Amino acid sequence: MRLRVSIALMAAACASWSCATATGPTPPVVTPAGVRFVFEHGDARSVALAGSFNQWSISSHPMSRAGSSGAWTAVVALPPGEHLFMYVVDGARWISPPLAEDYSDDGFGARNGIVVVRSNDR
Amino acid sequence: MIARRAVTALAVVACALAAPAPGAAQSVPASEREALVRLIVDRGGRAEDADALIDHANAAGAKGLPVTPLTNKIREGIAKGHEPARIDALIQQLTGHLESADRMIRDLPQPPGAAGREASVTLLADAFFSGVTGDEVNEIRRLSQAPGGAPISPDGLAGAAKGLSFIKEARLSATEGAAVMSEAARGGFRSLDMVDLGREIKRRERDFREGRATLRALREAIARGSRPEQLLRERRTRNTDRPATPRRDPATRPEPAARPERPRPPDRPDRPERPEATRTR
Repeated sequence: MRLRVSIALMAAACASWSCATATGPTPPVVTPAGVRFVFEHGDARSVALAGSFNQWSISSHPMSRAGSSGAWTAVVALPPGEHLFMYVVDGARWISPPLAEDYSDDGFGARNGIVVVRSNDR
Repeated sequence: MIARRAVTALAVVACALAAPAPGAAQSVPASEREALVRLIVDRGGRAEDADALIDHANAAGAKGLPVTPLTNKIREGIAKGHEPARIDALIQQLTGHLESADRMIRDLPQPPGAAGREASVTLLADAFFSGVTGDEVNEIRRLSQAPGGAPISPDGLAGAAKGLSFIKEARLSATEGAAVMSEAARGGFRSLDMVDLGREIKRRERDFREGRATLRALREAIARGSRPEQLLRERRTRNTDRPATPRRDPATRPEPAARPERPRPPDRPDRPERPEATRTR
């Protein structure tokens, strides 16, 4: 009985580990529909995208949970140019993107991610 | 006929008067002030704190400096929950960079229109914020002036300075970086092209650091007439559904200590620290 429980626990742990590592952090990608942002945070109740394109609003660009993998996604139409962004978890925790095209110091001790939309990208 | 000419002349004068003069005083719009006050109150702060920050932005605007980068930073700071004193310190720093940028842009012989001037001042101030110095900008200006040629334009100088900021962030030679950007300016690269070129150099920093590419060779290629689309070909032809080669946030990179520790031979002498320049980023 104890062995079965151990095996089940190991299987569950492996499954969650593979989910977490199969995709990994993903940088923003320019698509025809807009820039696709993907952020992984399994414990979050909500995740929002905040940046220079929405005046750092924590409510205007909520991200959607994608399945049960802990990934959150949003597709945002952005004009050509350089855009700064961060992720906001549960309306309060500002998190620097794990991956981005580039980063810049925000002047407050954190780093904003940068996504560049080029005019020939769209 | 005379009446038509008179009307045309009056229209021209009216347009000239209506257009904002370069460096004209600016102020934070009332709607922006209300939005910032609402934001700080929503975050549990006091309206007076927002007013004080906005007053500093208005003081900068009264000197003819652009207020938008300042209000953007105030908004970012409030949204991220930072203390007003910390935001204020940053605003003062940014104002200093804007003043330096404004002086340099005014000093150029080709003053652009108000909108172009503001964009140039903002971009140049951003380059200063990223670590470019006034001396380096002056060097770009000096080197970009071909004998008998036109002096660098304000937006060209700002773009070259911003491009140099990426080269400095990649910890490559600022002197050679300034030479690359000056050559690009002489070669007629647009401001955005120079920004892109600097960013591309930073993206390939390992190639430059490890000798597979050199800033000197890049400058010579530009001098021979290579165009931005040739230098940036790899990036420009990249499929849009693929991300640009991403960088990992330096703050979240796994530290070597996170790896399983191996026992160390007891009689092994301590190795010297690796020099900063060779650290893998």
